[in-house]
Parts: sequence; structure tokens; C-alpha cells
Amino acid sequence: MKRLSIVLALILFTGVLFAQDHSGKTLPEVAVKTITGESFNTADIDNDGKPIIVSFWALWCHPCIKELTTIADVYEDWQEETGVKLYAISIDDARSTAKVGPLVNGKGWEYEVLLDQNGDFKRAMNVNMIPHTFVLDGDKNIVWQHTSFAEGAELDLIEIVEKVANGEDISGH
Amino acid sequence: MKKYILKSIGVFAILFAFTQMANAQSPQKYGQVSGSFQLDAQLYQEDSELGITAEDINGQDMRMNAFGNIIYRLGNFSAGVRYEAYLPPLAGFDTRLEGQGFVNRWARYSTGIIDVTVGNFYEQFGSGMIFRAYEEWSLGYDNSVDGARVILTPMKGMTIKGIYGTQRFFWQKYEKNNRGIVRGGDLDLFMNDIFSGLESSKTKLTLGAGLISKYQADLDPIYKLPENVMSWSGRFNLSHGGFFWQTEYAHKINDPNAINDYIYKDGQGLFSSMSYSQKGLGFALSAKWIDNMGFKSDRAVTGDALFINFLPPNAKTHSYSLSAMYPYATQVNGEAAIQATINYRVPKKSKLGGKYGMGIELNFSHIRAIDKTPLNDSTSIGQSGTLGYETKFLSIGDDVYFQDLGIEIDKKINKHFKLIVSADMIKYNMAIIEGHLGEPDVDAFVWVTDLSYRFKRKHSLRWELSQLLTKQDQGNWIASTLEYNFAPTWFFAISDQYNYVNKDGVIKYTNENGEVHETEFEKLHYPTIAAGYTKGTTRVLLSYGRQREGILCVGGVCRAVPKSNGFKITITSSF
Amino acid sequence: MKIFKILFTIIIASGLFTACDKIEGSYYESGIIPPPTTRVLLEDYTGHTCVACPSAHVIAEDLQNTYGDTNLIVVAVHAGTFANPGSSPYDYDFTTDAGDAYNTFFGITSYPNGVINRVKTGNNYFIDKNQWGPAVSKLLYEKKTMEVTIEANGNDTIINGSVKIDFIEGLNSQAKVIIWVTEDHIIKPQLNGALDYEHNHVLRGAVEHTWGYTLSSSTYSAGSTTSIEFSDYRIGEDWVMKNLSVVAFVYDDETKRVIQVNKAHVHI
Repeated sequence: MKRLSIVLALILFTGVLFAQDHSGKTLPEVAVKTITGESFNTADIDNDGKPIIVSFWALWCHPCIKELTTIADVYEDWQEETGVKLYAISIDDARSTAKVGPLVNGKGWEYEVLLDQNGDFKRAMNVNMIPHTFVLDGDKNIVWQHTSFAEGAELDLIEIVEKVANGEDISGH
Repeated sequence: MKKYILKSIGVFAILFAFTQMANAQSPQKYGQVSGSFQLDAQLYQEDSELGITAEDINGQDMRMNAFGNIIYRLGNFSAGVRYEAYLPPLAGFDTRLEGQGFVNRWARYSTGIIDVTVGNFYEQFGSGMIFRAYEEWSLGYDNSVDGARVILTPMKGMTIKGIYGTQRFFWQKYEKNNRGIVRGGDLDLFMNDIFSGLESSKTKLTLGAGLISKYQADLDPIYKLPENVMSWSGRFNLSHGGFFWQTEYAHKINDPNAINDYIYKDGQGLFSSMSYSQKGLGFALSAKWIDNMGFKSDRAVTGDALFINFLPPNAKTHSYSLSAMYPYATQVNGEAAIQATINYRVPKKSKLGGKYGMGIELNFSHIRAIDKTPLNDSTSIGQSGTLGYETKFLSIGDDVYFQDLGIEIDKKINKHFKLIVSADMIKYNMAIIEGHLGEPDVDAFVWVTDLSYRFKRKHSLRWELSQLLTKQDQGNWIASTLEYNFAPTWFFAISDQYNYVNKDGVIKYTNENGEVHETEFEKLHYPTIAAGYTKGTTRVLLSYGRQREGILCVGGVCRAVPKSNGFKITITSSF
Repeated sequence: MKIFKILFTIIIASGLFTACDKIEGSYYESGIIPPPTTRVLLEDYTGHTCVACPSAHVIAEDLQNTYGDTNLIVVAVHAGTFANPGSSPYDYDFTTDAGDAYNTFFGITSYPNGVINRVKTGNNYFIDKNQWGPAVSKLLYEKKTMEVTIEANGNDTIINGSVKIDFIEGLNSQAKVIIWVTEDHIIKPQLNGALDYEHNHVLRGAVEHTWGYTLSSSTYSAGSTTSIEFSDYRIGEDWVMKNLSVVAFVYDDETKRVIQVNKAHVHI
């Protein structure tokens, strides 16, 4: 019976979530590391009033690497069009710290890469599954987020970023 | 029954009120609420071919794991709660998880200089060799600390942490002497910020040191046990351009416990990892040596619960199903490991790279025992109530625990096709890793091809074909998955894993004593269909079919997944 | 230099956390163990293909050596995955209906595992082998509230006997009495042990009722006695009468907690 009631509460709640918009939320302040081992406060994620993409990934997550590789192919165009900056947050644990750099460089990614070794940023952002991607507007409000990746999903992402860059309303998404 | 419905409506009302508050127009005044939840449920069916009988299911044909997190934030203040329910836990999770209730509640105040948390928190010192409290939902792993944490940043580049508390042990509340108390401190110095002369240097150096002490009363009638066990570590991180080097040494004083079988030897460990990368090329090399480093806040507990420290394996985490058939789990009582990875991007428009270039990753890991010698003629290695054994720092033993040599190539063929090919040769010491005495080492070869075909802007197909070849364990496997994606909303997949063993279905081996073991396996298919729907951060995943027996590992902590047949649903969301 | 001041403070402060006990000399408790005040039942849930089970037998034996095997009564219950008869040489069937029933009731799925006086810690009855020591040592010094005396006689393939209960203190709840037959010196293979491993105090079966005889009354005053007679218990074909014992214990029907236990050899 307990089980049924929990399922019931969650299903009701899912309905609320589907209907809700994500306006007005900002990034939490959490300490993460850069690839070179320096401390970095997530409040310092910034792009001079232009849109920001924050994407959570890990070395073992194939869809994540697919997503970031797909975006890497068009990243230059995106930056030219919208001025967007992508922060790739690796949630790999300590053993992989030294491997993130080689993968990022090996793949030729131009992103800002941060290491969230103990998942503090992940938890503060309520990330359950990766890939999980956030779009922030010029005032660093979280305006859109999405989990999972499939070929073509990057098209939706750039559509959102373009609208944000132009100051359009995206509440329909 | 009425009570539960009322309770669930209550929970819902609170959640609803919170989200409404979250939607309020002025977050500066009322704060922000965010949260997430996940529900995994499975309906278990009998399956005579898999050997699952009504008795195995034992009336618990429906099982569920669920959690919900809510975080409230206003300026420098934040607070949160975490609710979990396992009614009962999914097959393969620790049965002690059964129950429901609020597992975590915490409040935190943080300014630039001081950051104080009371209640439950997660934390890590250095690479985690002496202390790491974290949580991994897919394993049912949570060793959060309930107590207090203070983080000070007295000057730029310096971080001081102090922690004090007890660790989570399923649903058991802390009571006097039912488990240990953990306390500790850590200092981290980023030298470039501390010494102004180094500020503009391209060479970046971080030094750190940590200390953890565990208190647990000695109530044992047989052994004289240390009530305070201390562990410390020192570390550095050095980087210069594309070069990065990280090293940590850890030491633990006498800590007889259930993992090391009550030996009184000190433990020590060294982890060092180095990498170099430039555009299109990356190289990483890491080495680890550990001896008697199992450290828990209750010396009598085995299994995954109550670990104070974290010793990740030096092996690649595979994500394709068959490649992940034989994952390595760290042997905390002693292992010596090395791992090397090379990433190379064949440039665009080269002969091999073609129009889009091509990525190559080579990976090698090798893990073996450390060299242990008996203390004297009358004491066997690891005998309880003695120093256990002798070993030289960085000694290497004869037994190979694990080896993986692999290559992975990814290539975009044209606008429509993308291909990933991988191959791995794995050696897996089943007797040591799974504790199945007398089982032979598994030598497996696995190859995978993963082809994506985008036929319309947002429509794509993905076809995965893989094969695992081995003469041991359950023999050969072949697996295939076909997936249709309509980005970013829908996905459908159909897959089958076929354990065709070998021609006659018999696995035969001779053990050390010369006894011949012969096991006949039934050749079995494990078909599954699945569908998923994603909108924003809400994802619903349904699947139906058979699940093969396996081991799921995340960060070196593993959980056995039993074979099952049935209907499965996962709902996850965050806001 | 601010940095050195801070570092100095940290070094002083870290003294708070450096508490550590280095054990030198003997690693064994040397104090004299006072005689236990009552008896304790340790059920050792085990199996012949369970790798870690022999180490649990060693712990049980160590504890019996410390407290005396008449005070700590150990019964090996072969049940669950590792106890089921498998392929040769582990084809002997140690399992019993009673053992299977307890195993299911206590929810034991990993082995070795122990149940001590059927006391619940947290949500569970079972307790890891490494925690047996502290648990046993605590229960052995609880107040003795009743005494159980067993009389058992073997005749060819039949056991007859009686269990007498003396109430030292009054009892105000429904209690039951379980009577078991156990066997020592069974030589059978044990994985991670030997092919000629000696299995001791193995549960062979429950007399009459798996969950025991119900006491005729739920209230007994201090000083009163009651007894239960049993007869015609037929032993299994390959059991050796001279190695058999009878274990009997009284437990609270509601909490399942054992109130008193005893063990006696079967007289031939």
C-alpha cells in the first residue's frame, strides 16, 4: 500500500513538473576544479551577458561523449552566431582526473572543462542521469534543461540558444 | 491504508507548495527551490528457462526503489532533504535497504570565508584515499556523514576542511557503540595564489594533506582492538601547460577489521597519475599500489557499507553491455596496478582521417597482487590476531588479478553515418575478484560495432552488434541492439543477447587439484524491448524482457545484478 | 606572514584529530573472563559450498573456548543457496525443513550469517560473524530468568525425552519451546575447508513442531515449573546416535527472543 501511495504522489508530481517552467533559477555556488587542479567556484561561470550551456558528462558515458563530439563539430558556427560558451562538467571520480585532459584535447574540444569529482555540483543542480544539459541566459538564469542525447538533439539545443541570445521567450519549450 | 493515502497526499501537497514557491516571481526574496526524484520499479515474472521460480520471487513480484531530493536556497543559506523508499528493494540491492523515510536533511551557510554544514553531507579529501563520502544511486551506495562540516578559506588559495560525524548505515540510526565516529581535517594549498611570485607562472602547484581518525569502542571479548584508528595522507598536483601530474600517499595505523581478517599491520597506499596532451593527442599513465587499506567506520562490517575511504580501480569503465561483462573491483587488501591511455585524433582531410577526422583510443591496464611473505614459519599469511604478513613498499606479487588491452575508434563517415568500433582483450581473475574459489581465470575477447544513421534532421537509427568470446565462465555471447530515436523526445529499442556458450554448450576446466569440472549451459536468449520518452528533464523509460546476470560497477564499487524477467519502469525528473 | 600563522594554528588544531591507539604486545584480551550469568544460543547459518563459512565456524569456536561451550550453545543451520546439495562432491543434503523455515523467516540471503538469541538489532534478526563476539558477550551477562533442563534417551533409532522449565522470575507472555536434534562429527566435504571436513553441532531437525510446543499457560509465577515430554522421535538413516544432542530453548512468541536455552547429549 505504501508503495502504491508513493507511486501515486510521484505521478501527480510528475504532472506538475511537466507543466512547470524553470524561470528564475540561478547557479548554486559550489567548489569544483579546473583541469589543472585549481579550485573554481561555479558562481564564476560567466560569458559576459551571452548565453551559456552547462553540460554534465563523464568518461564512461557514451551518449555524453557523442553529444559533446557532435556539438564540437558545429561549435565554431554556434559561437559565431550566438556567442554561446559551453561548460563541460566531468563527474568522473579522482582516478580519472588525469585522463579528462587527454580526452578533451584528444577529441579537440574547445569547451571550458571543469571537474566535479565528488558530485557536489551535480547534486546541487539535481542531476540524476547524464547527459544533462542546461541553458543559461545572459543574466545566468537557468532557462532550459534537458536530459539524454540522441542524434539531432543538438538542433533543439541551438534553437533554444539562438532564442535566448535574441532575448525571445522560450517558455513554450 | 487510509493512513498511507493521507500521507502520500501530504507529501504531494508539500512538494506542490514548494514548486509553487519556486515559481514565485522574486527568488531574491523567497529563495529558490529545486529538486529531483527517480523511481525504478520492476515487476518480476517466473521464468523456468532462467530458473526463476515462484519460490525465488517469494510473493514479492513487484519491487521499487525511489528517491526525492529537495533543495532550498536563499542567498548564502541553503537546506535540503532527501527521501528514499525501497518497497522492497529491487533484486540485487542490499535487502537491508528495505524501508522508507527521510534519509538526509541538512542546512548550510556559506560566505566567501566560511562554509558550515550541519546534518548530512558528502565530502572528499584529495583523491579520496583516506576519506570520501559519496552516493551512487544505481548501486544503493550511500556513505554520507551525519554531523557537521566546516570549510574555511582564510586566504586566497587556501582551503581548510574539518568534518565530524557518523556514517549512514542503511536505516539504522546511530546509537552509542553501534558503529564508529569519524572525524578529520584537510588542508589544501594552491601555491600560485599563496606566493605572489608564482601567480603568473605557467607551472601550477597544489599541495595538500589530510587526517582522519575513527573512534569505535572495543567490545570484542577475544581481541584487544584499537579504539582510535588514524589515517593520514599527503599529496601534490603539478601542471605545466599540457602536462599534469598528481600523486597521493596514504598511511593507516593498525586497524584489525573484518576486511583484513583482524590483522594488526599498518596499511599504506600510493596513487600517482600523469598525463600529457596537446591538440589532437593525449597520453595518460597512472599507477597505484595499496596494502591493507580497507577502512570502515565499523570494523566488523563487510560489503560496501560504511567505507570511509575510496580506492578506485585502475581500469577502464566500459559502457557497452558485453564489454562490461567482466569489470574489475579494487582489492583493498593489496594490489599493484598500472594503466595507460592514449587518445589520438587523426586530422581532418588526411588520408586516414577523411573529411571529418578519426578518433583512436588505446587503453591498457594491468593489475596484480602485492608480494606478501609470512611473518615466521608458524604463522600463515593473513592469520587473525597477528601482524598478518610482511611486504615491501611497492612490491609486486605473482598473481595477475586483471588485465585489459583495448582499442576504440570513432569515425564520422559522412553526413549520415557515424561509426564506433572497439575491441578488448580481458583477463579476469574470477577467484579473487568475485571470491569464487577454484574458478579459473577468464580470458575474454570482446568486439563492438556501433553504427548511427541519421536519415532525417531529428530521426536516427543506431545499430549495435557485439560479441564476447571466451572458453571459461558461461562461454560465448553475441548481442545486438537496434534503436530508433526521434530527438529529443522518443526512443524505441529492441535488443537480444544470446549466450550461445560454444558448439556443444559445455564448459570444461581442470582446477589446481587436477579435478575436472564440467558444466553444461543451456543456450539462452535474453530479448528485451524498450521505449523512452523525454521532455525537458523528465524521462520515462519502459522495458520488458530478460535481464542477464551480471555485475554493475560504478567507480570500483560493484553490485551483482541477478537474472530476471519482467516489466521495468524508470521515471526520473528534476526541477 | 599570514600563511605561517594559519599553518601554525592548523598544526595545533590537528592535534584534536590525531587520537590513535597503537596496540603493542599481545593482540588478545588478557583480562580474566567472569563466568557468564546465563546461556546464549548462536545459530550459525551456513552451507557446504559457502567459501567464507569455515571462518565463521572458527569464530564460533573461539567464542565457545572463551565462554565455555555449555554457556554458548552453537547450532549450525545449513540452509539457503550454499547449503543446497550441488554437484559432486558437495552432493550431501544437510538441509532441514525447520532450517529452511527459519532461514526464510529471518530473511537471510547471505552466508555465513548468525542469529543470536533471536534478538533483533535494527530491523534484522541476523548479525554478521564479525559482530558475534560483542553481541554474545553482552547477552551472556544478562539476568537469568529461567532454567531449562533436558533429559534425552536414545533407543535404537528413537529418541525420547523431556524438557523441564523452572521459572526463576515470573512470566507474563506467551512462550514456546523449540526442541532440536543436532549432530557432531559429520565428516563431509566443505568448500574452502577440506574433503574430510568435520561438521559439528549440525541441526538435524526439530522435534514435532518447527516453531515449537506452545506452553499451556501464558502466565507463570516465580518459582513454578512446567515440563514438556516428547517421544518416538525417529532419527535419520545415516545419523550416528552417539553423536546426537538435544538443544531446547524457550522463546517469547511475539518477539521471538530466546529466554533460555540448554543442550544435552542423548544417553544411549
